[in-house]
Amino acid sequence: MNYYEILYIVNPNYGKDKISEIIHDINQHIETKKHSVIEHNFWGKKPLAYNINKEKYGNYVLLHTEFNDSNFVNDFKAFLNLNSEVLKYLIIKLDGKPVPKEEVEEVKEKENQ
Amino acid sequence: MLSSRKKSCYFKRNHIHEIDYKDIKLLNKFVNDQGKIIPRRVTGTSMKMHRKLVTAIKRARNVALLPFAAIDRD
Repeated sequence: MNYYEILYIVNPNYGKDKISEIIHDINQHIETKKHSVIEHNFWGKKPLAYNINKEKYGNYVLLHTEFNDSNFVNDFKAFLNLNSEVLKYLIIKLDGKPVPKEEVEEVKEKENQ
Repeated sequence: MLSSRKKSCYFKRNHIHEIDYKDIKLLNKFVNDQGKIIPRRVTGTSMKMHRKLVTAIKRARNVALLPFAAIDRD
C-alpha cells in the first residue's frame, strides 16, 4: 500500500469539458484495478518552461492516489505513455498520506487573476 | 574587509523542513537567470536542505515548471 503523487500535463488546446473527461477516464482506469483516488484536481493552464511537442502552454492536473500493489505503477506509466492527450508526467512516491495543501490553491488563484 | 559575515541557511531561518517541487516561487530564489542551481557556497544553504532543494529543482524541471536552460531568444 503506497501513496503516490502524479502531476501530468494535458494538451493546452483542450477545454474544461475535455479535461474533466480525461480525469474521469483516468479515475476509471485506477478504480477498475481496485486502487483508490484520493484527490484529482485541475491545476490550471500555465506557460511551460520549455516547449513540449511544440506546445508553449500546458494544462496541469494533479493526482493523489493510493495503489495497493506497487507493480501497478508500471501499468499506470504504460497507460499514460499510450495516452496521446498527456504530454508529460511525473510520478512521485510519498512517505505518508497526502494532505491537501492550501498553498497550491493560492498559487492557482493568483494565476487565474 | 576580510571578516565576511557568516551566511545562514534560508530554510533553517524560516523553519522549512520539506521542499515541494511545485513551489516555484521558492525554487526560483535558488536558480540564476540561466536556470542553473546556485552553489551552496553562495546561498549558504545547509547541506541537508541543499540536497532536498536539488531534487526539488530537478523534479520541477522534469514537468516544465522550471527551465533546464534559459536562453533569451528575443
